[in-house]
Amino acid sequence: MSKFSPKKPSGPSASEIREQEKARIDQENFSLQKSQEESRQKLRGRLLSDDDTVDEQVSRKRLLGQ
Amino acid sequence: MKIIDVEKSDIPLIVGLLLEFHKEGNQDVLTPDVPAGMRLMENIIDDANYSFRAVVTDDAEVAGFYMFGVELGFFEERQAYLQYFYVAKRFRDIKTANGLMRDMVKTSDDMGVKMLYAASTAGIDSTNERAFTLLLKRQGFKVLGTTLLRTT
Repeated sequence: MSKFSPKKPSGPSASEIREQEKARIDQENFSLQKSQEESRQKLRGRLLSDDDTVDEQVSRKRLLGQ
Repeated sequence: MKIIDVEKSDIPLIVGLLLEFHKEGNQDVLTPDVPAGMRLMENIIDDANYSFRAVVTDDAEVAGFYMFGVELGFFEERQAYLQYFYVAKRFRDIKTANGLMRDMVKTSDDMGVKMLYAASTAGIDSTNERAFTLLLKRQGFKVLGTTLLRTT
């Protein structure tokens, strides 16, 4: 008599998929944090170089619509 | 605080807020795809039919943003849908939120929008929903109905 042995599913297991997903999210968060730092530096430069220090700059698109 | 047009180099900062928005709101059924979202933001910035503006601190922190787009409908007049209006919790005060709201309405008027739709997804009768509705009413919005969502 042969014992019933369920066929092992091929491909990664649920825990492997979760780990892969976590690694992907961690990598994305790391890249995002790095690019956020760069973005802040650029934005800081832009704000400092603005001669017309007004509270609300007029939107370029708003000007296009006029 | 200043209100500026969002530029491509600002996108990572906006993404940070967008993730907070999803976490705080009722849309956690959708997993935000960050790289795809960033590419879509680039398209929005290039498209004259969309307004994408942010309120920033003097120290270059993004406190909030809004985005709306003119869309096709069965009216000759231009109509737009407010896709996002968000002020981060740590910057949430009436001056910041109201300033951003005023700017949104001014920009919409100047873009020739005759009908601007806004829907709250903060949750019915939540404090955020009430505050958002109040801000909109101050700018002349009238309540039409509720927002329903079906995701697949």
